[in-house]
Amino acid sequence: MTTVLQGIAFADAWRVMAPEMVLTAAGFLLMLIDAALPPAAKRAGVSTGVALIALLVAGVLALRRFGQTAALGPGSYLLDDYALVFKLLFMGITLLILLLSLDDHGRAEGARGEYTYLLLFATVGAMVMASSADLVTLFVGLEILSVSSYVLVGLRRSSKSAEGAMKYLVIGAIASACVLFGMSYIYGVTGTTHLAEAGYTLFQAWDSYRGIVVLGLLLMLAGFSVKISVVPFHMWAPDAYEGAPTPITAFLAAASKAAGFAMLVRVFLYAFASHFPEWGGLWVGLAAVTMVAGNLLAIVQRNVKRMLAYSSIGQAGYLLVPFAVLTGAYHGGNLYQDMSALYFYLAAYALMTAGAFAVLTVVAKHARSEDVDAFTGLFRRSPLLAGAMAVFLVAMAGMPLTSGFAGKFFIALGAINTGYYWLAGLMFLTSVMAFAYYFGLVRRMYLQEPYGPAESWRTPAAAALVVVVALVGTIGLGVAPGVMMHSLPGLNWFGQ
Amino acid sequence: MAPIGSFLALAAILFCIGLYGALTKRNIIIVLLSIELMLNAANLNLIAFSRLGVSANVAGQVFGLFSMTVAAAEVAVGLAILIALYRNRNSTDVRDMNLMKW
Repeated sequence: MTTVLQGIAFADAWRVMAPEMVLTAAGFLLMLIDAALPPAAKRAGVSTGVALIALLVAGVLALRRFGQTAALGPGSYLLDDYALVFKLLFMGITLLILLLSLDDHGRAEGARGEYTYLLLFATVGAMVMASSADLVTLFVGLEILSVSSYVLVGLRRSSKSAEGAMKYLVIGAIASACVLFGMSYIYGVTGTTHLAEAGYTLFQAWDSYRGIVVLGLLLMLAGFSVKISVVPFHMWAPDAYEGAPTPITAFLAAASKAAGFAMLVRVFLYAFASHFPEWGGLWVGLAAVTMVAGNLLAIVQRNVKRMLAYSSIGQAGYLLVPFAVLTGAYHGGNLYQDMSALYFYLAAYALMTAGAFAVLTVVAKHARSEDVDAFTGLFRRSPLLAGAMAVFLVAMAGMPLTSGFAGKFFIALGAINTGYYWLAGLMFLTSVMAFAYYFGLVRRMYLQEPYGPAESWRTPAAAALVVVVALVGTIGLGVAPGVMMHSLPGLNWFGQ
Repeated sequence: MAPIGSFLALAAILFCIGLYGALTKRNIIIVLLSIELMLNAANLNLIAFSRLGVSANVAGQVFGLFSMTVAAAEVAVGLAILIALYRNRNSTDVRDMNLMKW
């Protein structure tokens, strides 16, 4: 181990993990700045500016690495296109969240330096999860993301915020313990923490140590399911989402979930691929249950944040489908096509989520409420916000000409190609269910008179920018999905 | 030397006690303690495998070190959130955390 650690030169580390290094350095720099600056300067958004610059630099560094493959240590930290596309997604989401938080800082919670650098550290954690091919780095990345998220959820000075954070922490920590316990069994049976090596060894060990391997697999599966809020493990999500500051809710729904998927696919593809047909059906079942339960529970919600939380649980079900059909029918599935469908929908989902939460931030600020009533007659108060929100909602439901439809279409296509007709049918059915509550909100915004005086609501510039970017992305990916969908399968996904 | 089975059994029992405590206890401090128990059960597994496993090597001990660090960070954040919560509610009882349901 010591020889390995000594063997890593800075140049090699920089090649593989430059974006992470930049963001980490920026995070620590922000900690210093936060301690040194007077309060007035903090309010001007200096820390957000530094963080935005760091994200842009890291993004450029990541873009320049496309097509290359390299590894750090004995293949425990990988540079491949799979990691890079996910890293770009995380950084893009964080960029939008930071812009969105610019307005949030002016509120009673005050300007918070820790808000910005914790967000950066959370992003680094997510990026580590996408790159790791070793149980140790994977676990550390997962915890960097999780622990930062617990604090971020609890940052609002309100009772709900602390309660949401506590629930998230307890459930999240139990999940981490399960993951760790499962990992310890996998290490014990294979004698390595390295995913690909463990995969080779498990190919034989599966039969000789069946019980212990399956136990480890199930524990890891349960722990990961908590992180991506798959249905029997979703209970924390609505409470944490409701309690968190709204931009952080968007971060949890988009980036945190995407990171969970990045980790999940890497672990199960590398370490457990040899016996997919024996246990892969589990994912199919989880995906189906998640789609149905998430969309059903969303119908009865009165709080828009909670409604979006349940809808994001339903979306996790759709997102699970490409991986589920891959594991369920290992020989029939097309790995690159399925990965592309998963990534396309993740990107589309991240954009519409960021947009919807941006609108919610503005509305909640003016109405001082996150209830559905705050959206009543929004068209009269701000036609642009209402129009944007309507687009995001129908995109989530899967209306043609929006990215949501294109994404669901590619996913359903993958399911049909592998013979899971019923899963594709269920996707369609739950989409129809989703239309019920999304259209309820759209109807409220357009067809009902607002409560109280119909003064027009101004949208702050930063929030407007986020809404416009999300809108362009959602419609752009819906009208011309081929732009992204044709280039994705050609990527050098896992560096073969 | 004791066979690995007894270590694994001990770890499994600790993990189950921890899980039971985390899911049923009403005081959040006890819940956090139970979570520590679960994480330490995993550590025990790692150490046992690293010494007595089928292919014993040092990686398990390194993993154990990392997970101890992580567990410390996690419980520190947990206690911090608990203090914030206690200021709002004057209680560390799980049953009082009922602002949000369903």
